[in-house]
Amino acid sequence: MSLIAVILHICVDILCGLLVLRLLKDTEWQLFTIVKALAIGMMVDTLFVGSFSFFGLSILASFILFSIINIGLFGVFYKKLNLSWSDKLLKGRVSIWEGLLLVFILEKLVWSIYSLIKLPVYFDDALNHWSGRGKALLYSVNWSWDPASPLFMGKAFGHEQYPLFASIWRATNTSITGSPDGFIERVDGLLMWVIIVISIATWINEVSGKRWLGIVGASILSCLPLEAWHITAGYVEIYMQAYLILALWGIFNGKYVFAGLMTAALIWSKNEGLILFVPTLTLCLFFTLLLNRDLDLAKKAKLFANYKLTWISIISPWILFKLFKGIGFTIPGNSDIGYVDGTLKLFGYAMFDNPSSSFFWAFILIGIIISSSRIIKDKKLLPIAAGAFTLLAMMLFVFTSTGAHVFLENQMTIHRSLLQIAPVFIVLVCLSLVGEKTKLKEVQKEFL
Amino acid sequence: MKLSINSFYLLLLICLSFELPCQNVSITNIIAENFTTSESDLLEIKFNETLPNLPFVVAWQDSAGRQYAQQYLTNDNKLIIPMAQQSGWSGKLLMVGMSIADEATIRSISFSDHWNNFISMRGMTPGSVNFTSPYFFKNYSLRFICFCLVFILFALFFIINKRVYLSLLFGFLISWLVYDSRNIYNRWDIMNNLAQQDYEIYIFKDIDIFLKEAREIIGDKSWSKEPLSGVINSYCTYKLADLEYKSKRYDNPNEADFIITTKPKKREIVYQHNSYFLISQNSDK
Repeated sequence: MSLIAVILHICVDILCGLLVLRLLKDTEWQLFTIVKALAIGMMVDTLFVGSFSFFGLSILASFILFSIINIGLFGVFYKKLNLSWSDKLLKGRVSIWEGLLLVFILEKLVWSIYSLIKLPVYFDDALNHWSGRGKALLYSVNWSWDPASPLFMGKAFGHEQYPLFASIWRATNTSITGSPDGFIERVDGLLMWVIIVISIATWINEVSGKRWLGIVGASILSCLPLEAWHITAGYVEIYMQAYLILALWGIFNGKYVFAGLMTAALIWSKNEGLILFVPTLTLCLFFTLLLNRDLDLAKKAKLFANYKLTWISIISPWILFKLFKGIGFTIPGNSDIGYVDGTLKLFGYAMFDNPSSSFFWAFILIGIIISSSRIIKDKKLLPIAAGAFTLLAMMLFVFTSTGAHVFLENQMTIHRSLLQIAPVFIVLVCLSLVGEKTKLKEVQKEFL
Repeated sequence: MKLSINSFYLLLLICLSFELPCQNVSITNIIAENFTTSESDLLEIKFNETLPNLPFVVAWQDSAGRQYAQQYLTNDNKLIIPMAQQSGWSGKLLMVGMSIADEATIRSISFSDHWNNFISMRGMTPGSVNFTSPYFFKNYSLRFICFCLVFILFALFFIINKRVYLSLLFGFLISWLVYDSRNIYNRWDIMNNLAQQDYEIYIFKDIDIFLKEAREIIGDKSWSKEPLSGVINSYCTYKLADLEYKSKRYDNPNEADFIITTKPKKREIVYQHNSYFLISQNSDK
């Protein structure tokens, strides 16, 4: 029953996403399209269900309404969707070396499904902020939308400052099934991981024209020591990874409205989305448009506005709700800004001398240094590098100069925060280390 | 054990050189002497009857004949002493001695011990989502070994094809897969281990049984809880999130019909499973 509920939920979300992509004139039918549709659909679904729940409709009734609207619209626009299948990722035979890398990726998939089925929700933040509040919302008895109530936003279970994306999606899943279990409470993490893996592989493949390199990128991400845990943990760091990589893909590929949607999803997933990633993505967009000499100033301003207006219009109800109800955008704590002694050294240890990311960041640093001249000369790579380093600088600032330094000192969130920005560095290093002319056969001949 | 002249001078040296915060080490019993451990860098010492936290001394000699000594404390279990970190360690143990009469088994750690330590399971803990455990083979961390492997493979590939960037990527990739293989093994080890317990998470075992019955008793009434242990607090609130909860932070727990606690005091217990109690507060109202 859980599985049917999940499949039904996912299908409705993909339908919704496909309709939105149709509006954006993105009709090239490929694996990546489904992934993008799922990412959009999950966000629209939870915003819809959350809004109707606010107006008093039950979660299940809101979802049924959402499904009817989507199926209806899909029926009307089906022919106009005009989807044409042209997947470069699935094209051609899988070589033995690609197969070997796929084994390492598929192992994560098998392990995740197995542990999702067998193990309960185990980790603290999932029990409190994400699944805990989701359950409170679903059963209503411990939930209120009134700030005067002790039950406001399920605050007895988790921080009321946290957004509701994951909580609503899980509550909807549970409402379809009728009862909660470990699988439906955390399966969204698995979906997000699939989104990340396919997004990395597609992005690298698109730029380099090399599928094998895309698979290399996806396998590097999958083999990060903490990644497998986050697929099943029920935390939303994996949401941030997924939506961040998609937002950056949108910005660097001229899909600014899509990037705006993904930015809205980041804000709807976790507070870092607004505090940390909006400024970073804005800088990335600014830099990308600045480097583009084919566009005049007016066109650049229009594209910039497209991006900004998209995320603002989508997420403004949530931000206004927060403002009117007096909910903070960060959790209460030490808000002093200023460098905290010794934290830079600790940050260095966290990146380069810790089993949580092992020697990943050391390799990234070496890779970027030795290919720096290539990055600087390449118009495709330079904006990605700018984006990646802006993200890293933001992380550095947050963990060394704000109240969040305690989470660096006790290692509570530093490694999972670094995990969020790992995909963009993987894309950058894979693309900068491998020249465009390198083909798999050539590599096999040389190395293998 | 009879004291040799050599050991006697060494004991004198130790007694003169050590000053403990509360007492001097007075060694009257030599447990082992002239124990050559060859290449091994770890010693396993298991005392027979000694109580924990009693001082004992390990002394050794470097290749030039200089002598060194270090004090340790006994514990309940066997002690693994990493000798490679000690200055002057060349594999020659002069003696192990202590102040009370006891016997101990001393053996050098073998290759298979290192291997067993390397492949032993790093269990799932509430912190597994925040950071991962390191793997060590002898004194070398796996990440150091794999990082060195990156450069060995890089050099090898570079000799073959003279392409710096690609060689680095492949060197890293293979080492990365090697590192991941250890993590894969550990994750499946955890799952196998849990399968033997019928997938029951040990720390949730009692609270799960307790909550199943407590849920039936609470029914449509309200509940609250007093502090439990660690993640069990979150697990308890999550499991009963569909029942009316009076949190200590935002409500008055005294208004709750039932309290979950590990300290019942003199209150009315309506259900108990091991250390967990369900207290009825109806009589107080």
